[in-house]
Amino acid sequence: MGNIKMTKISTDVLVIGGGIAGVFAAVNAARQGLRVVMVDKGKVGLSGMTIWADTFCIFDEAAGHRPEDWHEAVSVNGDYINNRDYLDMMITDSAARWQDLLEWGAIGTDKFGKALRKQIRACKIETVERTMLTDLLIEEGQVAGAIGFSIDQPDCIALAAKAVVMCAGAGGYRPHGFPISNMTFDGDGMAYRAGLPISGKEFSDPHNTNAAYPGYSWGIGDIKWGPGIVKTGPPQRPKPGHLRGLSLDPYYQAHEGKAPIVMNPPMGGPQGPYPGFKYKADHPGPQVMLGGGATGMSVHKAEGIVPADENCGTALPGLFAAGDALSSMLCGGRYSGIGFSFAGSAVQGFRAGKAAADYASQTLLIDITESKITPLKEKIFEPLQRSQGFTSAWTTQMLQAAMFPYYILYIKKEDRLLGALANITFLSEHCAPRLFAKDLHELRSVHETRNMILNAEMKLRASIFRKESRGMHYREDYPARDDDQFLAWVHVHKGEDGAMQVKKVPVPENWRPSADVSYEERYVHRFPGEMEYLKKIGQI
Amino acid sequence: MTIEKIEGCNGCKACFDVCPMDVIRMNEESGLAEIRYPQDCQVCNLCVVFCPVDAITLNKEKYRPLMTAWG
Repeated sequence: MGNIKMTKISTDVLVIGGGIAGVFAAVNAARQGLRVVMVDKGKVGLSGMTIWADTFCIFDEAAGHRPEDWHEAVSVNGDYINNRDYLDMMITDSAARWQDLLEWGAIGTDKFGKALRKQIRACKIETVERTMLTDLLIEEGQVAGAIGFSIDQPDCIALAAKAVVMCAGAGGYRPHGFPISNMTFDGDGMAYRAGLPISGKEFSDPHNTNAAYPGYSWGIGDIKWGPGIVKTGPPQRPKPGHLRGLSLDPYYQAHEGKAPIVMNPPMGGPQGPYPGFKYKADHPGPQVMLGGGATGMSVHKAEGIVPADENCGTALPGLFAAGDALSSMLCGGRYSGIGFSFAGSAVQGFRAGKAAADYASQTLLIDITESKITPLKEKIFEPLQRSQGFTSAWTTQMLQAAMFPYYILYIKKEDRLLGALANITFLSEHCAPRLFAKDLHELRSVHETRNMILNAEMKLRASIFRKESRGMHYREDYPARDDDQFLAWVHVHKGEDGAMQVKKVPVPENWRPSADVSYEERYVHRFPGEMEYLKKIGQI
Repeated sequence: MTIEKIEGCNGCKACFDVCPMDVIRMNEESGLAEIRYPQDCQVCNLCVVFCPVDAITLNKEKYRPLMTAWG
């Protein structure tokens, strides 16, 4: 460890992750006159899922949008486990955040990341890039900063901060399609290790892609930069047989033996083909669907750190979270409408930045003790000391093999989930501690792989626990909603003995659907085998 | 799809500066961008979009390492 440098940085507010949530959090914290540092594994403003964004949904009163319509649409679509407070936040703030992006010059350009970076510089926000943070630092029961390493030189980086905003996004298991490969649930990993509850893990997002263009998702693919970000309209209440948001239909078909499933080639995004668009000519006709390119990712805004209030606070004093790192349950169990993800992250980031600044203004910087830093530093760099063991690349492949098949996270059943869990437990207990890294690039992969394995365990345990079907969580063995038991969120946290604990937390009484409304009317979307199952157990 | 080649690089570092995945590094001797970790390319196209001299080519093959029985 002698050749590893130690860099210490102090700030008022630390923002972890430089996607759209992080950018808005940092900008708003800086606007309060505080010193702000942003840390990103790659580059701020060009980070996480933000680089794939193309739509922004705003609440537009002038266009006749009504809050009650939005609530109705999202609740019905999300199977009533959406968080209405966070939808109110979006209704209140989304138009203002769109206006910010317009003023920053981020709209109508194929290089909106550049505009975001310009704004970061204009607000005099310091950036620490190509740096992966691995652990939160906690002193006296409150967050005191975070620690990690540079991927460019052997340098351990400890940041002391009065408040921290977690904007590290969600993740996938390095999927082949809808490539979100730099997203590895790092924020959830850090928060879980710090003892915080994590939720929303059982709801799977498909984001289907095709064989010819694995990078293609929603018709945007690798020409997505053409239209830039476009404004989208209100969420629609789903009609029977027609679903807004993403669907499990291809998985049902595959499960019936109707594979391969095909999908049409990319069409250039919501605005139609982009000038220069040539894929149609290259690959005419439908292509074989790969299934969920984003395998491992949850419904946007579902998985993440459990909020402790209506303003992006968490159970750890001084720690705030926003965007896909926060289990805001903005959409509930199923994605609500095009543009909810990007707009939701912007809105939450802005609020979290203010809340963190308010907290930091009333807090003194806590000295981070050497006794906290030294063991973490050793743990971070320990894979570099080992010359044998398991590679992160191979371990990630084994993780993919355990988690990618459609019959694990999409069409679920207890025996298969338990089988996958046995595999993941082995990777967690046997392989993760023996991962080795030849260089700092591989060290990043090692820590990412560990976060992916931890997340896989959360997803499987949450899926086993929720013995019903709801939103994008479909259990073949329990193919209907069970309102008596599961109008609730499933929380996982690290128990005192280090083992993962699972529990449910009921949705507030006044957010539940009226018992006077029939089951079929309450729940518009039908799962395969649902009505037969309800008849069998005497519910209808 | 993955990054395939960089030809005609002018050494401006734009691609290195935008890659979220550490696929591209600057060669210390030549001062030019090179593909160092293609297996991590997530096909975000940022390098292509930001390159001022159109030096970067992505191909239609996704880099997929073979699975082996042990690592």
